[in-house]
Amino acid sequence: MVEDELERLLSRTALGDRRAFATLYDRTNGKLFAVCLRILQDRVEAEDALQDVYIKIWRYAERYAASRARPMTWMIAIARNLAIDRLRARKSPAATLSAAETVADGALRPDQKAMAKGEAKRLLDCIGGLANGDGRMIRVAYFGGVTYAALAERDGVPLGTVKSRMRRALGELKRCLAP
Amino acid sequence: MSLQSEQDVEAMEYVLGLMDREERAEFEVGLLDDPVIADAVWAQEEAFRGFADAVPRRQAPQRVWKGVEDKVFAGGSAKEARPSFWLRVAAGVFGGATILAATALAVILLEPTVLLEPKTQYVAAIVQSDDRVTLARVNANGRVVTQALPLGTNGVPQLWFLPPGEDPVPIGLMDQNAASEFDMPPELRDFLTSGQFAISVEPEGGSPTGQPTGPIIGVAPVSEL
Repeated sequence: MVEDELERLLSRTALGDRRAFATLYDRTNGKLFAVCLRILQDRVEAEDALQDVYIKIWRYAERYAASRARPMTWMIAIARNLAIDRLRARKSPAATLSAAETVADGALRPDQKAMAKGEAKRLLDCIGGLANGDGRMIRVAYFGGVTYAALAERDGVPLGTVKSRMRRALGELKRCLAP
Repeated sequence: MSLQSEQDVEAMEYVLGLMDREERAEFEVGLLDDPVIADAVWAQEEAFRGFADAVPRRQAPQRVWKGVEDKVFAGGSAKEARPSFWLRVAAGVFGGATILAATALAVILLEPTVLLEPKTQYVAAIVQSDDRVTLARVNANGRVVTQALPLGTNGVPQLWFLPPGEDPVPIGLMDQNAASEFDMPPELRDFLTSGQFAISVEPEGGSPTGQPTGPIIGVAPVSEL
């Protein structure tokens, strides 16, 4: 299993094994770079962010064990968090939201959805089953880190309205995902 | 919605970045303190991972790996010094039982600058009356760095150093929206670990008297790393 191998590489990285870390980089940079690019929409920024991601992975490899996430999930969380922080630092909330929406529109071609397997497929199916663009908004949030405040401002609706709508959608999503 | 569902939805909101800065900081304090909430957050990261899995892979250019190698393997040492300060902060502020959860989450909670800064030598974890934690870090050369500290009220946050048995010394006005940097007066650097940092709420422009005039919202001793 790929995740088992990643777990082993991460444990060895935590012990200071450079070669294991280099192998970990080889195995995972494709996915993490893609995530940074999707969020930042800029090659140079994404490259800089990715460098910080791996430095963080190196420094915190021993902390992975306490997270109960799969190794790749842990690394994706680090990448997404770093990239979104950079995104927020460089743009106004309104610009961030509109960039994130552009990304979301291009994000999921039918062929990609068809290729998704297992849990990923279930997520995409459940997202697709949500009404009124809620699914799209959730995907935008995942890649864009847009806040309730930014959404309320964009739509010209009260913060409370945006929150209840999203919470209802997330509740539906949760029920759909539950086994 | 059941309590479990509410907690899961809140964890989803957190993972999706929907909370504003204040809500996020509040949530993170609860997160560091409660392994059940921490588990919920990781469960939602797993649940949403499908989005990341659906993005086609893109090989990163060689220069990225070169940059990583240079930074982590610099000077021929096999491993750069581990930033252990979060272990100490977690132990001091949140109690031993949550150290593991706290340090596991540290990778996705903190502003990146806090974690990537290798030269922090001293740290004070200032816990305010509403349980928010803000860090003041001091470098070997006496540079003090603080995190953003939004106040819900009028006034500006002012940072003070309290040397043992002495009056508070003003260090500077903290930005409410971004990290701030100040210089520690050189004559006080020897007293760092026997003194404390404090934050008070002052009028625009800071205290007019050179001493705190407004409410002190947090005080913390300084630890050496």
